[in-house]
Amino acid sequence: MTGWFYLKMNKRADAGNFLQLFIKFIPVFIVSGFIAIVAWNYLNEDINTHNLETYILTKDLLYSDSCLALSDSNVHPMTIDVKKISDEKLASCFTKSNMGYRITLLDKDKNEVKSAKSLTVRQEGYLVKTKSGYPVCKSIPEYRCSQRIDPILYSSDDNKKLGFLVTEVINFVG
Amino acid sequence: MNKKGDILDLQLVWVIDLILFTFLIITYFAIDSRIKNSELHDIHMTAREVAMTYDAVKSSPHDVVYSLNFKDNLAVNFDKDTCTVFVKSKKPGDTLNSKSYCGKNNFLVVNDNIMNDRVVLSKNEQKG
Repeated sequence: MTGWFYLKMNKRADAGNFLQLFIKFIPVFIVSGFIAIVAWNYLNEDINTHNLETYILTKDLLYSDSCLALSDSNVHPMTIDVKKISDEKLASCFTKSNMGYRITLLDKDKNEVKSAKSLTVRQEGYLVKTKSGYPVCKSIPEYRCSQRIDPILYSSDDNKKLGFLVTEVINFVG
Repeated sequence: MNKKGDILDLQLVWVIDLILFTFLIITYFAIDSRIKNSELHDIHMTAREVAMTYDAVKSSPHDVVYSLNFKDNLAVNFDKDTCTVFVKSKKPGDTLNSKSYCGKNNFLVVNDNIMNDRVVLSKNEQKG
């Protein structure tokens, strides 16, 4: 009984000492935290190239005959061959480790003509558009989503028509 | 009764505080000097610049040759299989590095020639 009593008293004394030590080190913890935040921000510097990457992606899609550009004996940049719009074509034309995208071809009245995507299951889940933009993407800081609309020509039944290419891009920025 | 022990405890705390503060101040100045010479920023930017230049050259409708300069204290490497650009410092023992991805196209070949302070990218289109 006496041994148990002393053990209990010692434990209380240890806890008191630990608390005192903890209080004494609080300034050190605060300064360490500040420096850790500064270091973390510095090492993970945010260089926002999302819009530029989206722009280059659309140029890749619209200018190259290995992507969507219409080609006969010549390549016709900014003119889309509707037959080329497929998931398989996009997979061989432009794939990037941290980026996924969906393209939608609209006619001049903004009706959908054809669509294709190069997205993982997760990216597809995040790239859901509502009236307020991309809510899932907005709530996850590691991802950036955006939409770009380019006026283009598209060839259908040997006719060239005016339309729009909507490119929706999701980018993992870590 | 316990006074001597208390004084020793107090001195020990002060010594540990002093050591920790010294360490923190040195760390802060080390980080600060890095920020001022912005080497890591150069590494991040060079990786992105090379990757996006690769994509821009690839998207060109015509054959093109483009030369991009970078600082000669940086080493640039390019992995064509994964389309990844690796940039690191040439300083011995320096582990600062960064990587950036470019867009992969199965039908296009972009030739890269990496020199000491520049990379020359040229496009050679093949129909697919």
